[in-house]
Amino acid sequence: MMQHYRRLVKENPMKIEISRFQRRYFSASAPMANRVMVLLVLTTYIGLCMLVLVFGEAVTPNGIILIQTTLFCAFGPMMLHGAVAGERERRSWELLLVAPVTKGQIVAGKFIGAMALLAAGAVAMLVPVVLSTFYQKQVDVTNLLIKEIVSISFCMLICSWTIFISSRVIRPLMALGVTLGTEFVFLGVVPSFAWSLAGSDPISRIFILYLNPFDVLQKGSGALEAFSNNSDFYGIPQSCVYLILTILFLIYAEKTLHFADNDVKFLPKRSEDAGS
Amino acid sequence: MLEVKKLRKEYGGLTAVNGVSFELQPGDIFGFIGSNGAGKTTTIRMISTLLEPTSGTAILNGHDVRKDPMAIRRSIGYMPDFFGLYDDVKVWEYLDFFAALYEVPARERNGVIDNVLELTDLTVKRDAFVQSLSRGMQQRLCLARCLVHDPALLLLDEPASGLDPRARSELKELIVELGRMGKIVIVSSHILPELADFCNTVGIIERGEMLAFGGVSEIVRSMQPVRAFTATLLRNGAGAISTLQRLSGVLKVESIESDLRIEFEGSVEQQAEIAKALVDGGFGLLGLREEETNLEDVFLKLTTGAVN
Repeated sequence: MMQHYRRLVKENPMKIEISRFQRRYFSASAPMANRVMVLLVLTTYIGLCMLVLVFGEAVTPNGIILIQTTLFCAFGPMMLHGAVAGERERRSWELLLVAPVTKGQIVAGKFIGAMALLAAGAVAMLVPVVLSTFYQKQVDVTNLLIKEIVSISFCMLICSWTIFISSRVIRPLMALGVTLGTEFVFLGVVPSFAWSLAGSDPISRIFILYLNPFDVLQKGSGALEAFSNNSDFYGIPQSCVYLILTILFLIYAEKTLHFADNDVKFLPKRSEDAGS
Repeated sequence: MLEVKKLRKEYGGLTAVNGVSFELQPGDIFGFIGSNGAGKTTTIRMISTLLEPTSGTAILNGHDVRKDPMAIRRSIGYMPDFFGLYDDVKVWEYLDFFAALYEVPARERNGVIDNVLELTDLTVKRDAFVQSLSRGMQQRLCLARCLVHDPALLLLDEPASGLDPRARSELKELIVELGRMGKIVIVSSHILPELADFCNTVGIIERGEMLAFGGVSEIVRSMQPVRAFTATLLRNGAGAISTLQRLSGVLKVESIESDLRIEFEGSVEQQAEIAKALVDGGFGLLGLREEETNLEDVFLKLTTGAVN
């Protein structure tokens, strides 16, 4: 275990991805599209803080964590859709493959890079969450903490899913489309069907909606409270499932990195195309 | 030292590389010549650990590509036939990323980047965006990237493709300099006259098999046992032709305008007799030069252009 930690995290040269992410989004040389995205996020963030300060009690910490999760669900795929597919598209993938890093280190490095930004975002989002708690009459801090954990672990799952998809396609935009599409299906379409199909059986609903964190995150705001009150299933156990799935997707991403890789890509279609 | 031993790569029923073997020493600049589809890139990719050989292996300074690919990766600089650049970064950022990837300590990276930029004559472009560089500069940046970890072996796949004559000339000088630095350089190219200029060893590959390997002149000589000389005489005539025809090793003599063309197969001592006979015969020898057979002639003679 420690050996894996040392190889994949502590001594992973691909941790340089963290500074690449920083340069890509926060440096003066960042591309215009990324600067616009950062500006939008900052505007939303400042707006959110202002909302808390102006409307006080009307803005709950739960609501802010919901917004945070929504933002992370959108920006995770936007940051990572090109993690592998982008390298393939610009043909820099081979340059990584001939570097003294394993495929596992490449995947871990990409993930760590995104996690660094995610962590920074989560810390920043703590400000409006803490501010809003001052306006609430009763605040269950433990409950809030659990929701933060659920939110962050779900975002980690989304990030690993994006890397997994990115490792299986050649075009980054395709990876983005597939990731956002599956998010829409699992967070929007499936729960809608589940409400109508599962009827009044709360257990069925709990399992069907288990992978949708918005259920538990809304607990307290009233909307889904009737089906979220089984705390044995939600919260920390749910986060553990998200983390296990995160690890599984990363492992499968590493295992499927060869997909559309050179061995396949350069396999000649006709015999006369062989060789170089 | 690089030893390539019976490298073989099969794709299904197709053999892309079939038992390629050669050996290179530090400082060798090896020109890898072959038509499209001959197996050059596949061979280079196997040496660079990108492809696993079906059989055979390559050993670089004691490290086997099959058993110890990580050690090989630390010792090679691979420049594919495309750039693979990150457009949205500055030149120094691009090099910094790869230096970190090759585990160059953070405190040394700036110095290393400055050195490779100087070597590739890109110092003035240190803070320029990669996408703003010309094609020739991007090619040199790729080479700079290959050098950040001071590799023992450089694999350059078609490095001169798409470059203008000036950029090609600069690249050639750079490769020669790298050879002088004691690096083994493998260059695959179609531009044969240029390869002949700066490679001390060449290999000709076709249908995955190495048809010839050795020094340029060695290969040319082995392919061309019959050599041709042109003698320019002050007094050309039948006498000169009959004098030369009597010499051993001389196969054919013909008069072309004011010159004589002599086809010869023999030792250097016999070769020396040609000049002596023309001087002693009083024909007024003005010049005697060997007609050069270039690498392109040898390549065309050796290969049929067929691919697997």
